[in-house]
Amino acid sequence: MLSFFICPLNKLFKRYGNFLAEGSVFFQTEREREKIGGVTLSGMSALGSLHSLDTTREYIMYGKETEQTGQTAQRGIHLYITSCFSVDQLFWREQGAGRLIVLGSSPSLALVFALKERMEMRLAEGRGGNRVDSRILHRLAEEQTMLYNKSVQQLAREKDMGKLPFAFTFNPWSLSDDIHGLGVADQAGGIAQTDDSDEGMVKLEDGHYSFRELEQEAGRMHELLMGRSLLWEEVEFLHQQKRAGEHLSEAAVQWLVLKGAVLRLPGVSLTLRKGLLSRKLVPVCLRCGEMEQIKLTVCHSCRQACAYCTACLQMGRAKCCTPLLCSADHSLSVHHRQPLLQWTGQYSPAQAEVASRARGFVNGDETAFLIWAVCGAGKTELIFPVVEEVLSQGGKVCIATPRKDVVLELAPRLTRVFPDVTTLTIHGSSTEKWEQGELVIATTHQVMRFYRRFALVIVDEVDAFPFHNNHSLYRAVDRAVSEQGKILYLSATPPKYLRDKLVRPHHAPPSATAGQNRLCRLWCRISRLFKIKQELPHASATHVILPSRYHGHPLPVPKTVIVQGWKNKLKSNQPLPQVIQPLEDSLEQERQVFFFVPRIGDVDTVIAYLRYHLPRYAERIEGVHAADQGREEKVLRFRQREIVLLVTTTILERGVTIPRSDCIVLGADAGIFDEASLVQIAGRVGRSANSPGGTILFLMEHRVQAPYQAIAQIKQMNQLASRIQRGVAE
Amino acid sequence: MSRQPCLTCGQSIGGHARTGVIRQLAAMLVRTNHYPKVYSLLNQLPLCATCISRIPFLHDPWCMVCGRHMLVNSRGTQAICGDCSGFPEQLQITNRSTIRYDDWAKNLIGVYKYRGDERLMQLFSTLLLIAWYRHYDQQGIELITYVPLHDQRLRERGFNQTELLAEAVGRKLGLPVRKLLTRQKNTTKLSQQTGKQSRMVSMNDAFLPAHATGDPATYDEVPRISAAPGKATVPAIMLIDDIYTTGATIRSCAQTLRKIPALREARILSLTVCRS
Repeated sequence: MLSFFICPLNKLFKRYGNFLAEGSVFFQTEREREKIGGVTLSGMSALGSLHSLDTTREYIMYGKETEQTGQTAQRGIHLYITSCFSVDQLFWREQGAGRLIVLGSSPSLALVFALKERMEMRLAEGRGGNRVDSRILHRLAEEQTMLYNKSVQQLAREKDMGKLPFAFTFNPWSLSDDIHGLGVADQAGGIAQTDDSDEGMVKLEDGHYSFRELEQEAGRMHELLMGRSLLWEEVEFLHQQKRAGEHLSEAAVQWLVLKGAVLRLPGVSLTLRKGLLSRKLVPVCLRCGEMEQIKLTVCHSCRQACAYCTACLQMGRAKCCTPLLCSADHSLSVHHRQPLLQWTGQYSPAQAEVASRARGFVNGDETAFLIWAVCGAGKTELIFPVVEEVLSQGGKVCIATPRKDVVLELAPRLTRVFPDVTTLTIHGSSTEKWEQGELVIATTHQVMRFYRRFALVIVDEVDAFPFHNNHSLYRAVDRAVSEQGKILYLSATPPKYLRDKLVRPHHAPPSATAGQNRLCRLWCRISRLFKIKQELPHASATHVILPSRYHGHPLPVPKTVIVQGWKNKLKSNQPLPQVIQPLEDSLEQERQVFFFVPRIGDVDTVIAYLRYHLPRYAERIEGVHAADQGREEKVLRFRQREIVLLVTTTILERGVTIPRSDCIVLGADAGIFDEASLVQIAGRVGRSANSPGGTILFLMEHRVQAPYQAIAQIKQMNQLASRIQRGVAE
Repeated sequence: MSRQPCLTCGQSIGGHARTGVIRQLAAMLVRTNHYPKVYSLLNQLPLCATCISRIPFLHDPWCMVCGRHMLVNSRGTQAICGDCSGFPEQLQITNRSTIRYDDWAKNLIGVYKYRGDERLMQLFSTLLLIAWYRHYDQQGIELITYVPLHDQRLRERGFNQTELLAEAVGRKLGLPVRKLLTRQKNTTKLSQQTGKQSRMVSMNDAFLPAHATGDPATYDEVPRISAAPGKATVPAIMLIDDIYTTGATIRSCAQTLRKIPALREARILSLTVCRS
């Protein structure tokens, strides 16, 4: 078996760097060729992988000639990027492909990617005429690198960074594959094998690899990476966790990239956009999709102009020189025991309808669906049949919720009803992060680490922080579902953009043609544009509304009260009858009261004020806010009815449920209380079946939209509920 | 006031309370001559009023050598703490720090160094400048340098946290910043070392003058620093680091700096963000 040695390309370059870099040009004389070839053969130091510890990571771009079938003798060229050129050589030789032309290398993956893209564009435009040779490619690469250098310096000036000490470098190499005695391309374009062995070997730092060994190693790596989107550092960590003691072979990863099983992208990509006067360099984080919060920096890892993303920094630094590896997961899991769902609870008729519609969505054509269920409707139970449906078809399911405590609360409930399914709980400090499972309950940020893995992603509380208005998280969810995967949104107060997208008043019947569907969508848009009032549709192909609570009673409707100058009166301790009177009424009836204030600073003033004016309850009035250490304990005491009046900021708008309680919102006109938040607050009241009513007061100084919108939404839900009930009765 | 949220707690910055806190703090930190400067520095901090009042600034009395806060100042203004008095005089490198290395600082330094949030550089460099106005403005500092990282560590991390700080401070003060040292030993993380003694041993000869490495790309030209004729004070160079724990790093750096011929006469002072 003849093993071939790959020349240490980058060392070679360093040695001959001068004459190459000076541009003393890219075509070589025969003598120089011999010289390079001679060095290669004599200096057989094994270096196939360019990633060794003492050198910076380099990414090589090369072109592969392809013959285009046709009368013209035109040759096409495809550009590729590699971190281990020797692996590519082996791969293409096995494929029997044409000549490889090495164009050059750069430590910045983003630059190489950008160059590749722009050069492909140029080549497609037909630059370079019919015959593309290495000279033209080299010139193009040089041209584009200069362009990038200019733009990056300009960007640095715009950001007040002065002149960057490092710019982009693309080291041109004028080597083509045939020099190494791998395969010499003859004029006809075919490959002439110089060695007659049937099995090639790649020599890497960690030993020799044969074709088959590489394939096996790649298979093992693929298992690790499947369904994930990870930065290189994370891959290293994962490898260390799962296959401790074994060498992480970059060759195997490169092999997977070549086979198309893994997508390798730069963490932050750089694209040139044409501006009005000049070109502008736009960095985009390919992990989270962020464009604004990317910081240009001086990076010592690549010693190039580099940028990193500050938006997803808490998940590790995505940089221009860090590869992001994405690998889709097409595997299906098999469950032998049916049914998977072991749940003995009962649905109300309204719940049952919603559940069956959601089940229908999973088997339908739509890709996104919204379950709009009012607070206290029993949302968690609604998703059980959908999850079961997908799981029994072999798909994987992810439930993404905004907060860690919700994850921790959901997990035991789901493991109880799906006892035979591997359930993973994934959050920042979870130990199960790197396991494989069919049902994943994760915080929204962790969803970013998945790639084309789930047949269904359920997004709980879409309207809550951090999901609301966060494009990167929507993008993460989009990327975590498989190609035919589906996204199910769950919310009590869906944000407007989601409502506009999914709640379609005019929906075509399921049997409609594509044209009819399009017409319906157009009509929806027109009616939205002209604000044509219409009834809220109960259900369509993309949404379903559950407007009543599980006990069937209507939602209590809030009242608005205008209170002039409450801030000054609070400070000077003057009586505010509009505040004190309803509080006294509620407390008389032994009801507990949530008292919402807009700012943390207001909590203490209000407590002092209320303690003064309600002396009978003074010891049972407390307050909480986000920075409060004893928050948990106070909420617990509130639950145990030791505290009867709890002054709070918006942190308690979700999650805490107290039977027989009322709500008062002081300063409901403050910007922090938007429509969704006020609906959520109103949703605290009347949750239990034996006390479905209650008082909700919005106290404000000025008339602003949000409280009225919230009231309108609650009324709309009640109307819809009664309409449905009438429909059922008829 | 900028609209960005507070770096540590996420609340909004601004409000009247903040101005009051800053005024009080500035008056406490420096004498009136530097009050305006320190006031505007504190005002630049991307922190809200509560977090500013939580910064664990070091207060006097402090050790004249290492700058640590001492509980009892028994020997007047020239007090030296127990640790420092154990060293011979040529090893006593004057150090000053801004804050105590408590949990708050530890967390922030961690985010800056290990998570790589370079935006915190602004916060730390402002803190360094405050210490500069408190201690070093009359010291005749002519040159700034910083503690280098080992090349391999630098490549892993992508940036040198002290270099960023030194550059920001240099820019604000209009002083030149030079890389004068290289690290030849890749020492283990400070937190993984046990005891003062092992720290001293591991830092022994950890640095080399940068020009000794022979690669012209890795060091800067060293300007000659010596006393101007007719002036009594000898100019100084300032060494910047993030944390001063035992002082082993600083002492090792200082010893190496003294070997550079152009700096033979210069005094060496060190400035760090944290003093543990």
